[in-house]
Amino acid sequence: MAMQSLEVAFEESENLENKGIEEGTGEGAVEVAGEATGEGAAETTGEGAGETTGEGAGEAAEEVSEDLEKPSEDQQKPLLNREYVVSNSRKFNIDLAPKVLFARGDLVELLCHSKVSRYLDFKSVSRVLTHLNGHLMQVPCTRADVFASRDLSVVHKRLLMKFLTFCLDHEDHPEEFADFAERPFCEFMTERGLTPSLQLLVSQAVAMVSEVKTRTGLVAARRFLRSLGRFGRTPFLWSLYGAGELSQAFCRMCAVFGGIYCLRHPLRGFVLDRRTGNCTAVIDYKGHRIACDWLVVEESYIPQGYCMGIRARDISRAVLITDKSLFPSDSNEASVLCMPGKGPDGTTINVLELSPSTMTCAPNTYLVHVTCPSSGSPWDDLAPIISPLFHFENEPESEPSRPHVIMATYFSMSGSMGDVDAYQDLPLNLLLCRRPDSKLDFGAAVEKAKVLFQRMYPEEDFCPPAPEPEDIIYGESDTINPSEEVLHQHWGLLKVCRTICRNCYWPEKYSVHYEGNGKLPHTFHTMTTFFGHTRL
Amino acid sequence: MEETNKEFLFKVLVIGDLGVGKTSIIKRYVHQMFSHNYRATIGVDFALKVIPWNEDTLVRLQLWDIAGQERFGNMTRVYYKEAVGAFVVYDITRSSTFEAVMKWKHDIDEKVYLPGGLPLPVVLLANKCDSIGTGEDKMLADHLHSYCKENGFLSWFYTSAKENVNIDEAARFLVGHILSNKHLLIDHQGDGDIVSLDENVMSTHKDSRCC
Repeated sequence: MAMQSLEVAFEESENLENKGIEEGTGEGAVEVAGEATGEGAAETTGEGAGETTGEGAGEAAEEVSEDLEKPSEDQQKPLLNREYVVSNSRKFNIDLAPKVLFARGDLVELLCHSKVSRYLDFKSVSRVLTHLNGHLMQVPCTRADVFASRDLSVVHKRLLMKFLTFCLDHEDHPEEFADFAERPFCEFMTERGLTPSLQLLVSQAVAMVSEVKTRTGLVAARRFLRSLGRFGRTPFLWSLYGAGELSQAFCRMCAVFGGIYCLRHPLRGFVLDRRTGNCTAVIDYKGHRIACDWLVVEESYIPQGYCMGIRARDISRAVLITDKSLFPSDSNEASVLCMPGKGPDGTTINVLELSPSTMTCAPNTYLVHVTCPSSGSPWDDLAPIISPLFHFENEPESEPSRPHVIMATYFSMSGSMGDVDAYQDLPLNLLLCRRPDSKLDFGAAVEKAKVLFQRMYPEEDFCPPAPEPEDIIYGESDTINPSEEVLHQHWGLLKVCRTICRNCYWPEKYSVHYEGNGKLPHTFHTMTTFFGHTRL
Repeated sequence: MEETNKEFLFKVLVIGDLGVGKTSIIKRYVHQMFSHNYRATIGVDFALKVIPWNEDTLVRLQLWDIAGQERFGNMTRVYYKEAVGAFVVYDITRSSTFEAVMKWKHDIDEKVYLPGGLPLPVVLLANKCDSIGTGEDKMLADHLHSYCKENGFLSWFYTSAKENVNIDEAARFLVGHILSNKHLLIDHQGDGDIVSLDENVMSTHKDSRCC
């Protein structure tokens, strides 16, 4: 009943809004803005809600986003310095939230099922590295790799294979670890006869955890092992051009089925209905009013007044551009390296090293992301890991030679508040997405997107398979639109793009807005969503 | 050099302001139809036209529609990536759409380039040419000629999706240009082991729901 009255109340302003934008005149917009702020039943809150987050992130951007000369065709290795990086800035795609996909994870399944994968290409992360006894080594991921490895003795190989096989099936044998389930993972591994270095190998490189309980460690190891053998030699996939491509692919699919995007439209405020407390519209930076039935936003848009005063844990980041791989080889590699963090709470520091073949950096360079939950400043958290691995300018040359850092930046980003409980009195039609976390993969993003979607549209399928372009039939009377049924089904895509976006680098401020017109099924609610990631 | 039985897949963008006739051009070219009814584009991703270029060469031309995303003037890069050419379309009867042509050209140049680093070949289409008289178009032609030279367009065509004027010609021109410069498409950076989920799903899941 509240919904109905809202629709009526804002019908007029919505029309004005459309007119203003489509004709590209400023007049319509001004009128809309005036009406919005002067409206009796509404109040505008949240000044600066659309402001950017992650201040430090901008620094890296400025250095590499200048657009200069085209890259040279020179086949010889160029002089790798700042000038080279800047003049090839277009070849760098630096993610705000760099993430890999587990080959058998939810996101891969969803991409395949929804056919959103048609817009994406991936590269298998070719190596998992680990830091063992002061040296970097490649973690043998396949059975063949284990037996070919020169870093392990035959006895160790057997022990390792046996233990990993157990990890994979541990759910079928709960009695074997029941006594250890809540005790440290390392105790269980000791009990299984693993030497300290094998234990490090399993926890750092396979489970990718630091100090955790046995149950957690086994689940983490299983997730890694289960994704092996599907694509390439490791369990991980990297999306070419960066993790930000994923959100764009969902957005493209959404646009094809009617979603409308307003890029570079930061939000200025929310309009609330005083009676119901619901959010009825948002106001963009130009004063455009966009009505909504639901509003799905990332946490940073929530005005301070709604926060319970809980301080989110920040994320410490470092981005480095180097001249060679940490672990040089003949081919163009993408590598994952997980190191124990210095925090007391079992956090890990994730290192992702990307070669030019990942389409994120210029030829002959490597792009390195180092990420962890913050304990102190980004420098304090990350420099102890980074310094021994890389060679910085003005340092004496080391032996063996380490990758030279051409450019580097340290910064922190706001972490997620985690639970919705961190906020009070939020409008009921406002749904929250979390900020990106420091984890290596997308975690439960798909699951969470699905939950939010089902709250809004409990009757709808979540991301049903999109029809192939050639299967859409154009009749004489309906030359452009596919059937209403098809449109109806694809509403689901809007939702997922939103939640996944929060975990991705997104190149500019934008929003998703669906405008109903008379031709479309009523289940297409007018809806607005905003994402708040800073351009890198 | 083996030159027989070559097949190429080219992604070509069709770009321009709202209502200039992008979808109509694609539909005329690919599906040989035209509709008077205007509707904002929904549900059009890309259309495929198979062109038997000559005895030895087959070109699969993917024409990517903008899918209504132009309304607010900024496109996501997913739309642009791996394109090898573009048509920028404007409506000859609406000067504001011509003013937007440069904006679209800049957007292309900013977000995509050929693997070798050169800008994308872009052809300008002056659409709805059926709506103007013959006297006017002579003057316009001179103007467009120099405009293209100054602003880095490969060429321009009068087109009409309604009357089916010049659309085949424009497409043939652009494809011909791409073919004769195909050495520019070789990527020195990438390597072969790119994973496309579609194919792998096909091979690993025989029971997949795509059939």
